[in-house]
Amino acid sequence: MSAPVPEPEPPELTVGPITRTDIVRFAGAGGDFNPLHHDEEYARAAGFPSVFAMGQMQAGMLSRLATDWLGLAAIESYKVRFAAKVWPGDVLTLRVAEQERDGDAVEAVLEAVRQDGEVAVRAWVRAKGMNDR
Amino acid sequence: MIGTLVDEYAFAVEEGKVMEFARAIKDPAARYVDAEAARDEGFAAIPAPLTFTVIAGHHRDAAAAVALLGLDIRRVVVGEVGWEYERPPVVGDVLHGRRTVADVQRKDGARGGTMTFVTLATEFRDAAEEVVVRQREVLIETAKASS
Repeated sequence: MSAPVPEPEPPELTVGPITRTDIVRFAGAGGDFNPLHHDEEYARAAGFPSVFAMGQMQAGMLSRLATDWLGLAAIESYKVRFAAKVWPGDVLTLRVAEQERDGDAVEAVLEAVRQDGEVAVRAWVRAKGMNDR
Repeated sequence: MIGTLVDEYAFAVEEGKVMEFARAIKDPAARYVDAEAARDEGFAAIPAPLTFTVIAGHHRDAAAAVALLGLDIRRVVVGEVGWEYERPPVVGDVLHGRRTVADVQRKDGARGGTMTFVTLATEFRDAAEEVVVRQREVLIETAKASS
């Protein structure tokens, strides 16, 4: 297979508004049953205005930007850092914040940004030999 | 504490679970639901999304792990998680995960008390005992609120 050079960057993706159903679906898929993420009364008693998403939900959503762009097989590493919570009703913009290329290798910083401009999760991705494995 | 075994488990990469996880992260790529689409991209079988090993949550006990580390679960948050891939896991793999303590750091909290950073490393190996994915996560125990 040839190695097509990836587009300079992928189009931005938008996800949301995030619903409680989305959060519950991820809880079931991932096995995170911390009640802060599905039990409204529990979350309020703990001092939060409502339930909120587990960081891994938006980390997974952001990974799609990397795989759409670079190809799943080319990705050598993916690392996420959780910065701000995602609440029901939030709309996330997934975008490339920085990138550096060296031949057929790419290192990039991706971000999932809330509608209020806060970065919810930031990801570092490294890929090599795009679509060539 | 470094090197301490935190937990150990095995799970099969199942077709239905991959589809469910891909839906949960809102990734509509055909490779996660259609074996032919996966083969067209060069995969031997349906591959798992990048963060799929998160489903280990079904196979381990977060509260027990935190207790074993001597941390207060009410103050523990996950700061970052990283994955390194030897290859993407695919449907049919049975992954064996072994999670150990890789690093422990303590820092003074901004408002007194001590913050603890625990780095856990997991190797996911396949049936041939080859490493498929390495995962590192940093747990942060925030400083106890000063009263």
